[in-house]
Amino acid sequence: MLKVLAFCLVVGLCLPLGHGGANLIASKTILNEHMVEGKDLTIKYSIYNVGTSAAVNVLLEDSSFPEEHFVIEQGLLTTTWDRIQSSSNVSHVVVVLPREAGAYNISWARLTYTSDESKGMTGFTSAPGPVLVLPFAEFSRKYEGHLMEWLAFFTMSAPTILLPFMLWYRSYSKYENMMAKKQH
Amino acid sequence: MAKLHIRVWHLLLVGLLFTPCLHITGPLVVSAQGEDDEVMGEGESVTMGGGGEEEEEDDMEVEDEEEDDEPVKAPDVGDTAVSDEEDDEGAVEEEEEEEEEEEFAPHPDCQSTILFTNRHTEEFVAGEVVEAVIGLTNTNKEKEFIVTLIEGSFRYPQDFSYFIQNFSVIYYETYIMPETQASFVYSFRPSESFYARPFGLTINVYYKDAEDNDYRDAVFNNTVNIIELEESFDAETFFMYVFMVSGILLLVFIIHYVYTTVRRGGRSAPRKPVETGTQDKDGVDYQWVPDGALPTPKKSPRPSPRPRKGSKK
Repeated sequence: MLKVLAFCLVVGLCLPLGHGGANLIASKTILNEHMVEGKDLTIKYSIYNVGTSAAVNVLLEDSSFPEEHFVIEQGLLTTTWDRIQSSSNVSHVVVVLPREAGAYNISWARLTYTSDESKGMTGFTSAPGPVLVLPFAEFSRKYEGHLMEWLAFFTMSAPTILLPFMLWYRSYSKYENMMAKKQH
Repeated sequence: MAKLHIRVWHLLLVGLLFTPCLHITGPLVVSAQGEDDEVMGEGESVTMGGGGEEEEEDDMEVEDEEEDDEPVKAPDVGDTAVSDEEDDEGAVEEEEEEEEEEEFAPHPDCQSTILFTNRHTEEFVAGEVVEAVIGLTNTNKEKEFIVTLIEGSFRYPQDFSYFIQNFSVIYYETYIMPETQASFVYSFRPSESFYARPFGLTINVYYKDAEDNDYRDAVFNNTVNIIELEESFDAETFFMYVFMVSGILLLVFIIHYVYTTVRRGGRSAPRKPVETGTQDKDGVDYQWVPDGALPTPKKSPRPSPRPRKGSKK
């Protein structure tokens, strides 16, 4: 009974949308695992047309990366697509560079398009929300290889291994010499 | 006086004789009383332990297996009987759920769509993250909606009021202005412990309007299939092979060791008289001392006694 009701609900919701022409839903996600100052930050926009007809004059504008906080490395924050067919999707990637560490609220991007019925629509992508951009020093301390530290460790710990070895080798070579003399 | 003494002694003896009985009967009575308690206690502890294990196994997110079993009874016994059988919490939960379903409904001017972006079919792999994009369209010309939260859960497919796994509740305070659309990303991970069988998946979006009227939209409310992970590299089987190979190597080593020691035992037999020979020279086995460490191996022991003898004589 519940299942039938659920089915009716889903169908009931889908039917009015099905006649509504183009319907775009869009996600905006950060692909990086760690956000670090002065390091690339990759943002991916995925736009899916779940409507029945194509969306035309699609305009994607993102104003959540202001110039004073971010450098645009690659890509454009404002893009257009002439046409997104129904049940197809497009992706757009922008690489930005956070100028300084701190907390940022990365919010939605605006999406405007015209449905086939020449009806303008405004939509918003999902928002990644508040993120914390790590200072470079903290990032390198936490996640980088620590080559210098390991080198220093090995040089400092070398005497404890090398000195006993030297002592042993000296006595060993002494007895070796004695054995060699005896054999001759 | 003597009689009194004898009586006292008798009493003491009788007392001594009976003390073991007292000792035996005392605890017996106590245990007879306590047995039931103990049994009860054991029973409780067993169930408690069982419950604890289940919780640990199910990795917090998954609710107890009891809930899986209960709905199996449901068709035979009927709804009312089930609610009687259930523990209070389950009944309350169900009531709450029913109330929720009665109270909240989607607003007619707010349409929703959902798209699972990393899987094309509605078959989810146990233990893999599923990403969904939820789109909400506000077609109202004046009203704005405020999305409060999005939640999802796996239900028992025969009865959606039984929860199997709850997913994170994501709180928003996002406005959807009149005649605009908004998208939300919701990702969840079906538990790895799920076997390949159907589950009822429900994803709800809760939103309200400016007058604080709450609405709920079941964006997705359907049965989905969970399939088991088909790994190309299975760690379990890999380590099984490693274990087998190491076992074979160990066997080979043991055989080799036994073989060589048996052969050595054959060799070591003639060596034994050499070892007993240590008793000859001052009780010292000079074989152990490296040759180089003996300054004059053969001359020193012999000449020393002669001069001494000579000097003494």
